[in-house]
Amino acid sequence: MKNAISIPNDILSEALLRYQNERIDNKYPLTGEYNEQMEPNKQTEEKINRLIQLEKKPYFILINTIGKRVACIIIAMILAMTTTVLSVEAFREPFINYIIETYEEWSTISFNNSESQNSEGIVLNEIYEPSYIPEGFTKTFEEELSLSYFCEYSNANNEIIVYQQNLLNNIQVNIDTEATVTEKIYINNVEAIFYENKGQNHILLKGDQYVFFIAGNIEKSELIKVAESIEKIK
Amino acid sequence: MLNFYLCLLDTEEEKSKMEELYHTYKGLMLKVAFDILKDYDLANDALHNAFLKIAHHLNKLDEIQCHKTKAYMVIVIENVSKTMYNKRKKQNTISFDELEYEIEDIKNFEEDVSSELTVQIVLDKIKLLPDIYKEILTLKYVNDLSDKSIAKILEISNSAARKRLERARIKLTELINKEQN
Repeated sequence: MKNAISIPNDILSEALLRYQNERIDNKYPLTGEYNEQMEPNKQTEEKINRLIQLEKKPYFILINTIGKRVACIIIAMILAMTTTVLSVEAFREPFINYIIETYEEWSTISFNNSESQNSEGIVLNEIYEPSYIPEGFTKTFEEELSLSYFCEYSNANNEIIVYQQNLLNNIQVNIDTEATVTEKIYINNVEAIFYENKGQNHILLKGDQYVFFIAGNIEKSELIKVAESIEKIK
Repeated sequence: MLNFYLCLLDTEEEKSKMEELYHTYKGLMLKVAFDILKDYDLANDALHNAFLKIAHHLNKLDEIQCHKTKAYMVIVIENVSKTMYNKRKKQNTISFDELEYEIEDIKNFEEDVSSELTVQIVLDKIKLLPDIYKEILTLKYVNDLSDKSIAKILEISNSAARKRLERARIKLTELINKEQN
């Protein structure tokens, strides 16, 4: 049997932190001051600012393990059973395998693919993308991560359509549902959620293995056509 | 120069954790990357890659300006830069993870270390560990990351992360035991 470390975690943690502080402060004694010495190039600045924007956007998708969120899920189940917030009712109806946590201004949906509880080592190995994009829009950004695929289309008027494909396993989606009316729609005979918020139309669609998210300030009918055209490209 | 996206951020309060991290550590991280890669453009790529990794573990960071977060940011950028450096040099040498599996299992240590173990004793022994052990132990015990998150940051498999962590703990215990005995 392998031994468990006998060094108390608090001592180990403190010692490691002291070590890293000594090492890093010895070599890099300053922090923010280096900003004056080293400036990222414009391209890097733009890429990272996109990440910042994503984090702030209501459709920012957080990947998290269900295990870490057990407590929240229990609360969420109670909320899902008792809440009377009608504006998010559509979220509870279409999907069997999700749990919704409803707050005043936003909702969290935790998807859970019961067929593959153990997501360890699973990575995105198929990419789906809409084959239809409204006229005038071109792909301006694309990011393929281990668990998700994201791309952004924009037109000359700076209107944006975002598309995201996420592995279904144990993901959590935060959605801004303040003053939002949601609607159950069908995308190629599959139930999906449509809602409009702050001038942006959104569609959330759950497939067998993936959750697809499409949003943009385009007509609902156009956004549905985009969602309907999602197909495997590799 | 702030681009279009930052124009969308209205107030100081609305600044995201990611944004605060970026504006606090971008210069430091770029410098760390440049010191390893010796190339400004590559260092920029490393900075972007590092933030892609950090984006998935923001919930583990509480305070922006503290030693713990600074250590985390430096370790992430160091690791990304070293990985890029090695890829660039097209080193065909066997990776440490593969090597780890080839090394015979280190003897297990069942005995407890002394109850009088102090931070200083542990610190002294940490200094003797290989860098990759110091790095993974820090991510685990200082930054409180899961094995899975550590694997993503270090770009190794989950099992390799667990194995490396286990070896790091065993090695540290061994060093301390030697002194205690």
